[in-house]
Amino acid sequence: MMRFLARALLLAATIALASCASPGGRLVSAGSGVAVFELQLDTSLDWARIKRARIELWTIDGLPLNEFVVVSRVRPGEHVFLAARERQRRPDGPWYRQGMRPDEIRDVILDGLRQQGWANVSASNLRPARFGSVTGLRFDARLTHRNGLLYQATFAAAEHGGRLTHFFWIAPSEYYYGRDIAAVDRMLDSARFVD
Amino acid sequence: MNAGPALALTLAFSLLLSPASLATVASSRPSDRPVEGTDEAELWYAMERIERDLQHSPLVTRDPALNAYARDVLCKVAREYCGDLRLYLVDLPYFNASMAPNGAMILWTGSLLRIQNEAQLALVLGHEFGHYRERHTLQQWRKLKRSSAFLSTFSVFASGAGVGVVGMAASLAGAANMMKFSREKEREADKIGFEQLQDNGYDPNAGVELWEGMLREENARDYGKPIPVFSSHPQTRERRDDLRVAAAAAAKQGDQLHLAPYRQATRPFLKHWLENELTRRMFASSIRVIGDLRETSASEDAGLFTFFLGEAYRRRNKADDRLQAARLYAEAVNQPGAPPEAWREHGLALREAGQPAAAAALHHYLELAPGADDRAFIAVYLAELEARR
Repeated sequence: MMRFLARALLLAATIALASCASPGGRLVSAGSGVAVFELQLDTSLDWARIKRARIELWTIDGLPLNEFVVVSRVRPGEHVFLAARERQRRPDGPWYRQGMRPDEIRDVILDGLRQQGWANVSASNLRPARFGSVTGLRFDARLTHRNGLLYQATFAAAEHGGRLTHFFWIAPSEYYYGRDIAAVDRMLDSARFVD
Repeated sequence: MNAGPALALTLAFSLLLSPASLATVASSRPSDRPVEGTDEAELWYAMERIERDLQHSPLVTRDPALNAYARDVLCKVAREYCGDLRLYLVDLPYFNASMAPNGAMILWTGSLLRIQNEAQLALVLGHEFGHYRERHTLQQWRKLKRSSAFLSTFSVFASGAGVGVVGMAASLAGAANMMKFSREKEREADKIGFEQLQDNGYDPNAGVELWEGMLREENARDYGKPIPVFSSHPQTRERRDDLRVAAAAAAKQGDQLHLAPYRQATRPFLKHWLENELTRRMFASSIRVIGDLRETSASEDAGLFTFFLGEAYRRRNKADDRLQAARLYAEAVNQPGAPPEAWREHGLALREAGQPAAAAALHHYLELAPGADDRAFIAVYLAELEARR
């Protein structure tokens, strides 16, 4: 139960982006082969890094302003943001199921965001991607925070060993998204599974 | 929520609870404004703050034609009160409507999806207008202030400032729904709505059909809390039965549904509202809702509703849902109004079943939607299918 609560709190901090916060945590310096769970990636940016079980948050300017999130090894029947598990009383939540089509993975991730209060969520440019030897997907999205601020995001996801790993970067459309999207795109494209 | 202003408002409301304010509340008259310094003026002030935020909300549907149409229907039922009311169409996929005491009326777009003609819309708007004219929120507010529920209810209002898009809608809706009007007040609002329906020559049976549909939706829900309208109103069955009795006894037997103008106004939004409906992820009730709409839809929209019914089954993905979805996609592509995505899903269902016709369906999808955002994946599927030949 405590683990669930801790994850729910983390999820709230991650997705709601409700308040300005000092990023804290350890630093990730620009470089190659940065390890995050079962992934390695290359980054030309420096990040503050907050680690939790199966979720990491990286940010450059603070959580409301930009956020790179990695959600690792989501099991079948788990919420795509690890917030809960499928139950008989709630069978239709944004649960991951093994063998989902790429567009179904996209939709369930977006429904998870809607569940957290994001509005006007719309996706674009669903496309195949490779993360080392693993085939996955990328897509982009526009969405509105509950405070009315417009955000943009870019997502990556792949099934690996019967589990779902997904990672995304989200930032306000005004200034922050445009400032870093090229570097973040390169970082997401460089991601590869290493086990 | 900012605690400072909230506390100040709480104190202001408490201090304003004078004996005069406990007197019987008269119906409002057109252009009425609350007297300065009264609890009603403070209540309006709190609502106006929330409404100002709502006006900037990205959830408010701003399409001029749809807003003009809905407002026109509102003015038919509110008549000389029309200038006192502002109608906000909020893009949330549930059946809900609410009336704030200052004249801000909210209708969620999930209602517009479920409502099937102008007469039903007039009934819903007339009901909310009834709450306004009879100043039900003020009455309820005074009643609550005499009870221990005051602080918890106050927090619903006060939290409206600065809590964001959904919060704003919820806070304004709180003026009517979260305070839970008594059954007596809901019945009074129903009566006013029904009178306006008759006075405008609409079919008095319109409400019976609307609540029949709501009852089917409520019964289809297999888990979770009741949707908002069910949690705060008299029981759906009771309401339908009341409307049936009233319709049978109606002095004026109008026959107007104004189906065509309603369809014309709402048709451009059907696809968006159906997509939103599925994001609720309450697939059993969505299957019921979309299934009902499919039965009564205009023939030119049959393919749209059949496709989305298939989508509800596919996304639920229980037992033989995918087979059911595949059957519906195959039907949709042969009906008028099917969106390009029906061809995509038809093609993908054929692909899952190992049918060679999958490639033709996917090609047709790309012809219909050359800018499809999933084109890259469809191209991969097509390459795989064509390599198997």
